Amino acid sequence: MRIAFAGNPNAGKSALVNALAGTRLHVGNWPGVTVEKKEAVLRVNGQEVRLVDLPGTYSLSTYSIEERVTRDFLLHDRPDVVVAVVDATNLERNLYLTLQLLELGIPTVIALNVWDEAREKGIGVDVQRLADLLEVEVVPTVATTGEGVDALIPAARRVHERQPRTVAEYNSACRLATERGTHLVHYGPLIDPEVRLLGEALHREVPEVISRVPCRWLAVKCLEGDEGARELLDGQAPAALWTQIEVQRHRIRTLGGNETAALVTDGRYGFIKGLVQDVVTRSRPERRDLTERIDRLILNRVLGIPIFLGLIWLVFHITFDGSTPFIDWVDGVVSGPLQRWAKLGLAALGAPVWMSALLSEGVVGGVGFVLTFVPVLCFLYLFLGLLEGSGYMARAAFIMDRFLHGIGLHGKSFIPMILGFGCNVPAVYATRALDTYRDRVLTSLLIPLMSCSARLPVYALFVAAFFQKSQGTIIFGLYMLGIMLAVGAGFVFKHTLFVGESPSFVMELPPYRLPTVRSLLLYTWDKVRAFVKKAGTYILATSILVWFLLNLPWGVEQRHDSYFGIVASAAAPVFAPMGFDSWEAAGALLTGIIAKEVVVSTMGEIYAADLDAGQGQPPTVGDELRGIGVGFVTACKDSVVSVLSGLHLISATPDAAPPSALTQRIRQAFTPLTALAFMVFVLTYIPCVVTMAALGQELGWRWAGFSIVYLLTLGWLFSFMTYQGGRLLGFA
Amino acid sequence: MQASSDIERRLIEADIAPTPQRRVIAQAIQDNANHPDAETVYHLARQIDPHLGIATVYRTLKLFAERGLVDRHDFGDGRTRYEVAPDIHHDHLICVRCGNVVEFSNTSIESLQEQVADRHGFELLDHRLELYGVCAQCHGTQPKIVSGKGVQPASSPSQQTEARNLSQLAPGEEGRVIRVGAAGKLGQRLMSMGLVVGETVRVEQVAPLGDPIGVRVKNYRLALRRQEAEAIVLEVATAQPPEVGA
Repeated sequence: MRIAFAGNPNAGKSALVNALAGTRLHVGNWPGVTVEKKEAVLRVNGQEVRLVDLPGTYSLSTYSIEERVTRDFLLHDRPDVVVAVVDATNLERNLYLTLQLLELGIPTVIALNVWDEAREKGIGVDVQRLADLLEVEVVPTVATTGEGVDALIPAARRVHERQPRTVAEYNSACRLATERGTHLVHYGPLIDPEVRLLGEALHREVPEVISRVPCRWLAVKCLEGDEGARELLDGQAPAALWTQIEVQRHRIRTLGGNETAALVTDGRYGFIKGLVQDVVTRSRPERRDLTERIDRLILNRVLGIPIFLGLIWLVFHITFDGSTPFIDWVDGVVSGPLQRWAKLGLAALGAPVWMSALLSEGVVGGVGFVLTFVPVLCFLYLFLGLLEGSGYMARAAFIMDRFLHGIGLHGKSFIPMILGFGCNVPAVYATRALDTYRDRVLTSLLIPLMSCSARLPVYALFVAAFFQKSQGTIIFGLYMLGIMLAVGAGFVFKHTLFVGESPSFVMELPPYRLPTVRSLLLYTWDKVRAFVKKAGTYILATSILVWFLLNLPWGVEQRHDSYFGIVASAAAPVFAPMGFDSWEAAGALLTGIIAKEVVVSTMGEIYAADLDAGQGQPPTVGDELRGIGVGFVTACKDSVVSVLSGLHLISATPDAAPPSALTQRIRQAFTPLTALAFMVFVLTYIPCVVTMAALGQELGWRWAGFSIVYLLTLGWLFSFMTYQGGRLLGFA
Repeated sequence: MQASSDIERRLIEADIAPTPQRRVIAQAIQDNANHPDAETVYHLARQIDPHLGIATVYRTLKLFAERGLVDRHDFGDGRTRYEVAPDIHHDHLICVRCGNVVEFSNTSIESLQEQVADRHGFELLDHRLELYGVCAQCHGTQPKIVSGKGVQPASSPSQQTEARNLSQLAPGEEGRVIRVGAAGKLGQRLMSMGLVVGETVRVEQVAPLGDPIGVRVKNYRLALRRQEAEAIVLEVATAQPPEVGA
């Protein structure tokens, strides 16, 4: 049996599915769709039950991606039962979607979720009466505690046995209801006869479509002028049918004084009003609830923005300072013991040297690199989950919308943009929260201009070498430059690539709720696993490719003579107008495509050839295992210390500045001006390979390609302007 | 307000058992001289008895009409309006702008009709005459609602109301939706979020940068930009100063 879960966003749909499925729930691989549908398979009483968690929607029109995904699934992959998840504290709006689900004729169970909150608020729902009036099963549930959840599947079985299942069965039941006038929702004396008339025509003209799609629903949708309904009829319906639809629409418009869609919406809400009147009782009058009181503070005209910025800073600070020790630990474990063990193991198996090098350096190193993303993502998604689950995310969009609207974006774009300062990759994935493809593309194009934390080591190296007196100012200036470029680029894109009306803002401000620890952990686990699975493959492939470039032709001694060196030398002249045309600089930038912080390590390798390759006694495996364990404990401690010290709650000893050979060599190879031009280029040029992969997956490879080209151009231009402008002003 | 015994008498005369709910509904129609539609009857009746459901109202109105207690009218604005069947025949003037209905009776029109019927050999049983136009109030003055649907004042007819769009309301002010003036995607979105005609909307918040605004509708909170809010025309009470809110 296949059960689909549909409901309004914030109705607790995902929590309900999680309560049923737990970690068995995973993002299904649905080709061509970027909005997630999730799936889980359960065994209940020996029977296989497949749960599908559909994206949250308010309606079943085809105006947003979520609506389309939900509707297409229900129509074309017709599940056996739909569970309509409804927020019991707000039946009136939630039932609007439920009514539309009912019209699809799929046996339905209503899950009256958030039942506990409704009880607390003194809202009583006559469950039996609601079930009788809508001819469905109604199950009160509390997804967060699991109350009532177990009753869902038996209820689903009952409706599945009782209700007509196939489209044909439903259609004939519908015809009967039309004759007897016993339809659940009547659209009034104007529309009902038109629906009936069109229904008959559909039966006559396009029986094939009607065998797949509920007739009455299709008739209503056609009269509404719904795009999706037109697509269903495209190529099937004779011209006369199209004419009939238009004539009928015109008649309704003239007589009803409004569009069919509006009249139908009125009809549905009118029905719901009466229904709610009949089944809902309030034992006490409504009063200002906690949500309203919190919002008075958080959305306050004076305090709103400071609170928002403070929260974002806090999330940032804890995420990046807290995860750094763990990243170092992962890095240490992989590049140390793991790679050594891999080498030893391969040698013991008698593998050739090149294979041993490839596997230990290329593959294990690549996997290690993927894993270094995990700590920061865990922290980040934990906080994102908290912000989303609590309802603050909607407020952030509310506060920032005015600002972003100017560059053609939506308030919701702010969170992905801000995340970009941490890491562009989760930022690109976070654009999924946006309603339209247009918003997602535009936001994703701008995200790489947010200077991510991986670029910081590059700035740090250069400012330490050249701008010791004004380190902070220079770095701050680079961040600001990124933001200004994003605003400028956004403005240009809005008026060139994305001309036309920007999508509407209309958005619910959900009540504040405390997410459960379980739901937060599941959310984080889900997202991090998806990242490792999706981005990991690309990172691994790239790092293996780079390994080959660096080590071929086989036995190459100098980096300069490897394929990598050859490519870098060929690319170097491109940077001549910016003042840094050495193959070393070009090479560092090339590896920077993998990840921008690699620029630093490549420079270290290339410039400081005399790296201490000193190896003492090879440690024993036991020692190393102990070292890994101790290292993890130290990382935990360091994480707490660095988070607290950043908050100035305790003071940590500052790191001594490393007086390195690298700094010396860089001072010889760059001037302050070329260093600045180099940093500007690092800020702007192509996003790292992981971001590219994310862009490709989220937007398609065309947009990813566009992003690469425009960022390279922009980087080159601004770097060029920095260098040449500086020369004109008399800086050497 | 007329004596309830009068209503009871009329119900009994029409062979309808005078249950409390029926009495309330009949009372609501009778008290409102302006030919209310079912939804208005429902709103009015609920002020007397808050436990009434709209389904009950529809059922009762149907029964009343069948038994001749009320007359049904269709003035072309897409809604059926009701009126307690008058003892004396009268005709209607309907304002197409504000939906106001004026009753009149004119003896020369009545006799002219009979002459016409006579000439065609008709035996006249009944007739309806509805004259459409612009009422004195709307005529000459700037129409407050451009091409709006005919709508009666919401609650008590004595209260002064004016039409304003949602973006013009200050926090704490509220009004009843009389028109959603956006077509296509935005209009559909607004309506599916519950901003339908007849709904009460209250502005609760304005974002720190002045836009968007947060409103309460259908007992939940919705955020929308001012530009979008402009499409929603409300009927706002002017008699009372707005309650001071957030």
